[in-house]
Amino acid sequence: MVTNTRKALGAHALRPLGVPNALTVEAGTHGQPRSVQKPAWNAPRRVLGIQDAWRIDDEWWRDRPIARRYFCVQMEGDLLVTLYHDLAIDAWFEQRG
Amino acid sequence: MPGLPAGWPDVTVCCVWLPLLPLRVAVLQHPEWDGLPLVLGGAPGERKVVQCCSPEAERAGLQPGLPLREVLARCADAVVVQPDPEAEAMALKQVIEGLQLVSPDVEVQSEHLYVNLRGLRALHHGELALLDRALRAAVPLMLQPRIGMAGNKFTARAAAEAAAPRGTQVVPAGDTVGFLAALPVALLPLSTATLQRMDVLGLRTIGELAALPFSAVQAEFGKAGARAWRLAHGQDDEPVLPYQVKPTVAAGITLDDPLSSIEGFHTALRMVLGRAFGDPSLHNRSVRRVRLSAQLSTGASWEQLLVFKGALMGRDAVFRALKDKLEVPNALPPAPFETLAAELTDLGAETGKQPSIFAKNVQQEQQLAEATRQLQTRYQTPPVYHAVEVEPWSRIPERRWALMPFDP
Repeated sequence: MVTNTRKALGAHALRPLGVPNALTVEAGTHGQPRSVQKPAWNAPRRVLGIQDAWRIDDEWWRDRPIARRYFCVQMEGDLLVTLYHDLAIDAWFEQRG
Repeated sequence: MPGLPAGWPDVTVCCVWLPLLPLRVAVLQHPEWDGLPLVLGGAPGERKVVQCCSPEAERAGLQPGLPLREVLARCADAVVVQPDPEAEAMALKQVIEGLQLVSPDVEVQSEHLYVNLRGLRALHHGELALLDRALRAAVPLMLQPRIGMAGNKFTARAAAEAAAPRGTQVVPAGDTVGFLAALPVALLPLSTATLQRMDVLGLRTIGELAALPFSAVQAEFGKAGARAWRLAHGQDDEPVLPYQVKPTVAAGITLDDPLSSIEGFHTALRMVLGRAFGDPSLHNRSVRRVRLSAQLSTGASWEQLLVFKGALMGRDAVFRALKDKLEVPNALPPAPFETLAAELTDLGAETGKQPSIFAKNVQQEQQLAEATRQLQTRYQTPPVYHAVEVEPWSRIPERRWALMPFDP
């Protein structure tokens, strides 16, 4: 006879890929990034140019609406980084994937 | 309980009736709704009409079948309750478990629960009032149970339906025929067509049917009519069939962000089934029935009971069968879901395995599975993942792909 196992339901089963990493960004007067500091870097790096910018507004009907302003920036050291400003919580993140 | 006869009259069956159970379960969750006009709306995919309504709503002019858009126009105070099958099943299960503490023989027929009272007299010192108190302790008062006690199942059911809200009606075996005589024939287990014919013939009460000769009733209404005549005479030897707890294996997941895509549902389903089949209880066992349930981001719940034509073994076979069955319209959750759970029941024995002729692939899979198992034993967490598409069309990059534990 097999009994009901009554196992507790598991949590966090799916691990999203490309979860954004927090960044420290110094922004200009119009909100564009001027320098970026990743946790692994010793010092902030200057943004040489913005190659692209776009905005995503989604899930406005939920408790945590999504409002992001994306920038694809060229950094010192010929580095290309995609980052965004989370307008809902006023924080910066690096986006991968 | 006032009104109960002293001692223990000749009663052997009790019927606990939980009228308007979906609405009363909603009141159980929102006690402030008690006394308000409540109507039950249709489940997602069903017609947008009133399924059932509380007495307060009926007094306000609402009735089953009324389009939901007209409800608030007719009764501004009305509360439209969304069906919550999961909460309903949970409440019913608690009631059954409570009643099983009173008597081991509890039969469930939708909103009617029958309790076998044989052998309980000495336990309650020959006082029916004590038994009534024990029965009421098993059922939350908010569910407004009506209790009927009689000498057989049909009369107990009729007594419960004749009882006042939250009341008890006792019909000793000797009073059965007299009690039933005044009740409408619609209480008898007869088809609508038969009831219509009885109406045409002027048979309105059970007593009028009982007054006819048995042979005439049987000739006119056939087998069902013969049974109805016997019931009208208090002849019901149908036993209380004990509720059977089926062996069940349950598994589920909770998601950080609600999923709304079909791909996401399939991924989550595959994972839930992987967990269920990882349970040693399902080793070498087949499955005939799966109950899927989900909590939706809207606050409602979703449930699907799926029965397979044959016994299926293994996660992949069950997943394929479920995927096929869920391809029909309105089969999937109607809103983004936050949790997904599966209960696998009707477990059978192993039916046989057909080994693959592609020995090389099988060998590689077995090696990978064995290596994964060893790593999992060592690190306690799933050591190997594989990437799956969840919402490939999403504008939010981290929603497109996810890592799912590799479950050999």
